[in-house]
Amino acid sequence: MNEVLEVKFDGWTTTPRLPFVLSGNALCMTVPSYSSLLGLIGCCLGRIVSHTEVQFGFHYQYSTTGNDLETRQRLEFDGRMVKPHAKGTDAYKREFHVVSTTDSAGDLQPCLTLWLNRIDWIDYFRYPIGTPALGRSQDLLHIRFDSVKIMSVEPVSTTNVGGCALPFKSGMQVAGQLVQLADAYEEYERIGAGRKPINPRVFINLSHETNQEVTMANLFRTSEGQSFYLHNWQ
Amino acid sequence: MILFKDYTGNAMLNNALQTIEALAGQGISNIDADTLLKLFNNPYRDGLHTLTGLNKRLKSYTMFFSKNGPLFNDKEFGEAIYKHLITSILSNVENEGPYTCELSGLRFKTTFEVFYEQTLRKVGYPAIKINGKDKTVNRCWFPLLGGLGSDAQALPQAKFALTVHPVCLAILQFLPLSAVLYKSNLLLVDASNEDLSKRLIADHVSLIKSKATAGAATSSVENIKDYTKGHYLLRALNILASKERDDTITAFNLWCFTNSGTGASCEIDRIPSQLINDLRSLYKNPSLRPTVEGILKNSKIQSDFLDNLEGHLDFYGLYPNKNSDGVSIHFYEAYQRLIGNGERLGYAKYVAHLLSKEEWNKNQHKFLSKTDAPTSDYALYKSMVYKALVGAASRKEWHWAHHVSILNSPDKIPIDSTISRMYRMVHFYYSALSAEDDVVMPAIPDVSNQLIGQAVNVFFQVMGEDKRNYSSRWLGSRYQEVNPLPLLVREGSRFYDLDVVYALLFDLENRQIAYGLRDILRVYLNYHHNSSLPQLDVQPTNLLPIPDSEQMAYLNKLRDFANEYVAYYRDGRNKGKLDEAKFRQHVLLPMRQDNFQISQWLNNVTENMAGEINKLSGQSFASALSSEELLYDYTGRYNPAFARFALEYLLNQFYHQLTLTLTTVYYGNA
Repeated sequence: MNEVLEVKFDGWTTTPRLPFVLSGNALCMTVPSYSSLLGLIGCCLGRIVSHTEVQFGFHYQYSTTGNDLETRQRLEFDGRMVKPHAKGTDAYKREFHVVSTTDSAGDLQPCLTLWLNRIDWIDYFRYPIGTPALGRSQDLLHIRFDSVKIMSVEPVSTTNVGGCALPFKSGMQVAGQLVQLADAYEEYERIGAGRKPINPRVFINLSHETNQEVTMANLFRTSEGQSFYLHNWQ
Repeated sequence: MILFKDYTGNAMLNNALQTIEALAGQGISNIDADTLLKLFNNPYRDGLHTLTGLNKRLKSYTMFFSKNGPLFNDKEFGEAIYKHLITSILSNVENEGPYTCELSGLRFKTTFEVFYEQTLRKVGYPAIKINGKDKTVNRCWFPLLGGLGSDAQALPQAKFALTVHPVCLAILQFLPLSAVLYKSNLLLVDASNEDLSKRLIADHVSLIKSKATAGAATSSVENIKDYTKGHYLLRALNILASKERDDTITAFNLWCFTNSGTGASCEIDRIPSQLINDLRSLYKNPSLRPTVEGILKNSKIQSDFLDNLEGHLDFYGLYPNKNSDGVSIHFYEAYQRLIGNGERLGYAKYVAHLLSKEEWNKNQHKFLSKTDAPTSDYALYKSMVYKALVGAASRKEWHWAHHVSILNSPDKIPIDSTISRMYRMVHFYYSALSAEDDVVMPAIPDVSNQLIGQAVNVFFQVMGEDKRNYSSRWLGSRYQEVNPLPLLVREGSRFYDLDVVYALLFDLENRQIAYGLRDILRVYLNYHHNSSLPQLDVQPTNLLPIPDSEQMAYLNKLRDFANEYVAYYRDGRNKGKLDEAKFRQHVLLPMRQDNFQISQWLNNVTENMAGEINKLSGQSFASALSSEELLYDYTGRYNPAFARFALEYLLNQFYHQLTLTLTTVYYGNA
């Protein structure tokens, strides 16, 4: 592979939620999961995108975290049907990321950069079908038209990366947060029958502040000098 | 059957596995389902305790699993359900099947719901109630995992619980055996450095075991709640120091959470690799270690210490105060180097030495002996430090290049000479140094290739050219009352364009800011007070700021007016001839000082220019500019003093160039 499609997103807030912490309050991971980003890509394409269709890498950065106190319209499943919770709404504290930073000209800086091996999808990101959001429905993202471009890349064996998630193997010399995440989720054929996690495994999330040297497969450097890990679902 | 070859990515599951490792005394890759079952029935391998019994006694259990699980919520069947359920899960562990556990990646075919229903039937739970009982995976079995009862909207399609291998729920039951508190909630240690978290958990297991086995077999076991972030970090540092391999990258996260009732909550403190490395560099040194330990064990200051070290900020706890003598010089210097203040240490020590050399009266001595002198009376401390520096400069013990090297804002123009960030450091050394300490003057740095160096060199060069000894006014204590503009008009206009002088002395609101410059000039002049001032070449100004577009437009208006006036003076009044001496005598010397006189002069000149030229040539030389445009600066403020300075500067510049050319004072900045 010597070319990728580079897409830059900017916005005000995002919520890359830490999974499996549902009760009490919601926390954020330092970077979003691959399954969330697959959903984001699908939103731009206007359809469900399977992990078999694309490989991608990303760089994510945020300025700080904030907390929202939200009213939840609670639901309850009684074994037969989903219905409003008998005790009504509740207050819920939810962590989110503030991603808005501006450059000297006052333009918003990208919070998320994707590098996809599908350069034929360029128009889907220049003219996205859905409205991309990362996390909650209010965490809208914006794509600058001229930030969607084809970029030449070269493979490298060792480079510095940050603001991404790497598959973790015991003994790896990197500092970050370990998380157990599925690569993707697949809907069962029957509508409403739930979803199946694809390849759950251990990732280490590297925040953007820690640009760390790693040596592994699937590392690339763009012609503009930015390095990334291309996740290939293996 | 071996269940796990490696840890998972789930912090709770990993901590539970590490608890089991500590109990079993073997690594995770050797622990099979039989070992788990044995540990469930005999966790301390002493034949005296069971996990069920311990979990009923441990106060932390309900913080993990709430009171809604069978162990605490069902007096009749609860204990039997709990024992039977965990035993049957551990006796029938699967690693194949259609389901994939989202927490561990293990595959299985018998769900927790099935095990639960079978258990209920076997322990004689009333059949009529079985269907109505919630048997799904929820936070009674896995902390914070949510449940269909109240967190349904956060679960897939609001009607599916998360897919979890039943053995993970059984493994989680061991977690209370390593539970300690952090910020009043339960602690989880989550680290990519697995050995570190494993050893921390093993410590906690020993701690809980000693408490659980000390009292009566049925007495409740209180939570261990005396520890803070500093304590856990200290333990981590100890572990890292004892490791043979030097792990340069070690970050970990301290979770504090509770799953108790309606108060469920979770927060994660991230301890970055850089902070750990900084702490390790202090901890590794045997002479600094006791201080690190003292600070990290002190619950009042350890949090601020860690925050400041992480943010690379100065820390108040290093300094003496009424409760503490402060840290040693050795520790202080190591800390300051870590936060990037290493270069200033030599200066601070030297300034403290100069401060102690100065002769002070009794009250001043008393003031300096206060631990909080710089903050208790900032103005007095500032004046005393400055006095000591000026005194040292006159003895050639302090150079102006030293002075500009310790400014708070060396990149600020107009010059800001504040050095207050040094004060705490200076005062630390003042209190800590003894008379025997050998303090040497720092080497004089070369600052000529820095912005601040160029800025002050421009003034030093102008001063060196002054034949009237105007500069002596800056030597005395009333140096702040001296206006640098007359010297600049008289001498600076020979060498530098108005833009240069303007940017060095005027801020964005067109206010003259010369306080900082005067401080540095005073040091410079005192340094040379016994000899003549050095004669410098014209200084480079390439690093100096350029006025912005609004400022430049206003300066250009003044330039246009000066050009017109020169043309009027030469062509209108003197018929194309210009006498250098007369120009000086008639134009430069009589320039008015008073605001009213300046505006009057401008009005008169504008009118005369128009009348005189019309009369002589029939052409209109009436200025394109009205006097108001000159008298009101670009901020809209009535500012005749500035208009006078700028016009005087430009006309002097023209006068100085008369010997070279008689054509223009315009410098192409239009």
